Amino acid sequence: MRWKKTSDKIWIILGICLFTYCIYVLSKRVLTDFFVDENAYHTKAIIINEENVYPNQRGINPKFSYSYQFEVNKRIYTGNSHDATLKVGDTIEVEYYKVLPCFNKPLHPKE
Amino acid sequence: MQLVALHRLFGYSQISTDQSGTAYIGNIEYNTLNGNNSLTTLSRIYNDEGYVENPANPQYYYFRHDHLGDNREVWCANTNTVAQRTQYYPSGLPWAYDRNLDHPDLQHRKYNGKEFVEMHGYDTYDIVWRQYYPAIMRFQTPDPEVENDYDLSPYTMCDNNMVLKTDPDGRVAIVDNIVGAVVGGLADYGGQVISNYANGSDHPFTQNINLVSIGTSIAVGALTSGVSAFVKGGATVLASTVNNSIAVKTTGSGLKVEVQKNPVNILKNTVIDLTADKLARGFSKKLVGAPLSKVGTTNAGRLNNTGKALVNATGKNVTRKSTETTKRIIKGVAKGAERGTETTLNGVTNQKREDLKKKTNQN
Repeated sequence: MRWKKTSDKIWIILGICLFTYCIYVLSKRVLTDFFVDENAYHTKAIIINEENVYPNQRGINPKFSYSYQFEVNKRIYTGNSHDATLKVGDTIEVEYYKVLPCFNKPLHPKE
Repeated sequence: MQLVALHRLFGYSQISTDQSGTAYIGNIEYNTLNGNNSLTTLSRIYNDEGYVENPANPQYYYFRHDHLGDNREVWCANTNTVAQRTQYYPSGLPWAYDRNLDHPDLQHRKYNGKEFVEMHGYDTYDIVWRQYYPAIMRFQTPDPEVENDYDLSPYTMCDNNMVLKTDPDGRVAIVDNIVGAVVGGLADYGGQVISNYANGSDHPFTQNINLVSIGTSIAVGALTSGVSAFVKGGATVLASTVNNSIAVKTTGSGLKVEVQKNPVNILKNTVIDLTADKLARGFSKKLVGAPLSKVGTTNAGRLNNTGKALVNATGKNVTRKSTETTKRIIKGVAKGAERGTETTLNGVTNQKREDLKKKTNQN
């Protein structure tokens, strides 16, 4: 009985963590679209060596796109370029929300 | 006799005041003696998983079901022994049994979980609206909704396909395999769309969709609605192996076919997928499906105040029919929410899963 109670608690804690992560991931996308589409500032960003693997590939020849990096007010922000053809060191145009530049996305994503 | 009056109110009168027998109110079973009210005793309380006998000194019995909900074994929790074994012909007729070993008379809820009423060879199942006679695989009376299907005899059971279908109340057979295929395919596609959306794709519905994965989900959904747990597990492993071996992906310029040639990668990625799927299913069931399915019902399977309020909210009175309908709706909503949660979890965590696969792949 005691083990069952402990097991239930573990399930609940893990479940809360997982649900929080889901809300974070989905809300990040929703908020990025909302803020950036509402009030966009454009800037140039540099492609860096940080890979973002595409989902739904089942690990078969996994395709990925590099992240980009840009600076606003001496702070560095990153994002997914969504373009598998870009190489490290290339430049890309991105748009961001002025108040919170962590909400950003590429201006002309290929996918 | 109040008990019998209540009993008749729900249309389940099986005894008269001058007979001994069994009386039911919902899922509660009473023993009566010569119709004498003072000699009527509460004998059993049933729920979906089994029943408790002799509430004063309770004995707990649990059913072991097969994929159709047939009660194959009854297990007594107090003594940790199998109390009843039943094997069936495909029609639902119990096989010949060893009376001392299999205890066929211990309880009579058998094929599809329905009560088997034995009457000197004219043995029928009580399937709510009608009595089903398994010896000839026919109901005794026509389907009350016969006008909905002209192609079949109104006396058939489960459209003559009793191995794959079930008939919950004698009216409409449930085509589990087709429903399973549709749900499986939609859930897989939904999960892929969610993962594309969460990853930031501008075309989450059309690009980067893995068609092989959808195909295997449809196949597993259809197969696992009509087979044993062992075959179900085997089909799931096989589907996962196929998914990690070949992919047909939608891209901006058409379809792209890719094959995984390294067997170690296939094995490793299959294990990753099966583990992640199992965890997502466990979370969804434990934290969403199970709590939701209890909303509106008591532990004994009856409607509680919330359930009754739900029935009243639709403008109906609490009767056996409305109770059954409400319970079915609650169960359906719980199942839908559970599947939706599982799909969302799989979708949102898919990118991390792919990341792990890429980092651990052998070249």
